[in-house]
Amino acid sequence: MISNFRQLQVLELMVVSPSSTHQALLSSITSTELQKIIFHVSRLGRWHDPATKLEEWAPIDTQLCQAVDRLRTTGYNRTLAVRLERIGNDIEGDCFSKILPIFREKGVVTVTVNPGLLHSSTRRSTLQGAGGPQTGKQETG
Amino acid sequence: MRNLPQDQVECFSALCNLHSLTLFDIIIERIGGEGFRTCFSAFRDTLTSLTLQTFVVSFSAFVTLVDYFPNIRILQLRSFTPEPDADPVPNLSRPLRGRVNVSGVDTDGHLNFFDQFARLELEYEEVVIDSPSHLIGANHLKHALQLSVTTAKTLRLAGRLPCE
Repeated sequence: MISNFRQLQVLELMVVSPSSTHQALLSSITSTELQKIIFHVSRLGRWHDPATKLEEWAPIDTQLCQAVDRLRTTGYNRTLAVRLERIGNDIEGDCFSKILPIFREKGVVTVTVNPGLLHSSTRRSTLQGAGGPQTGKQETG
Repeated sequence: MRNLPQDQVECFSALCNLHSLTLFDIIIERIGGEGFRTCFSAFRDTLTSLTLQTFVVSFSAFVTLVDYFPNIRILQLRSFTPEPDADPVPNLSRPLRGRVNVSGVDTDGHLNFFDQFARLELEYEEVVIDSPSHLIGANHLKHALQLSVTTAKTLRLAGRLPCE
């Protein structure tokens, strides 16, 4: 899907629930310039069950690891940073510290909170900002 | 717009240092090349951000409009309606650079628009594909992901993505 984006440095994705399209996007990364992937995680997802959440994100974890491994074979020597930006305060925070357990051994995962992103108009303007806002507290995973 | 009263045209001519312009709810064909000069010449060189929102346009008119402003760095296309083209598509006088933001695309006409857009000389560093109110269609996403593939450093998919 994005295999031709060979200069790509930053990939930002909106996530309600991780889907096969997210997996397809990650599996098609070829850019050895890639520095950061940002997931804007919407509170509209079903976050009531942490175990389910971890299970839903497992394929993303796998794809991220495979992406790094694949890029390494083409000369990629960066440490890929993944940022999980929580949209809204009502998402169970503990989930985020446990998401992507395998990738954390290969890259860096940070979690940011953006409580202000409650309305689409705000969301739009924020997502248009460079790299998104840092309006909430930041946790490192 | 080409039928604007003279006093309104003079208002446009006073905007000699304008950087950002939003055209809302407009049929671009009705402006025409002469209309561009009448309304936009005062800020042709200073404009860096152009937003077209809820607009109707053929691809040739779109190219004529964006090419009229030589220094656009931000182009935002929101909820537009592509129209069949009666005119040949003009060549760009220079590559389009900066950021392109496309949102609210969900018709078959948009697919062809993306295909034509991708064939232009694009050197965008940032590509944003948004869909504030509904899922981005899988086919639309595929076609939109043709834009500026060789130069884009940042890709933002700021809407809900479909399942494959």
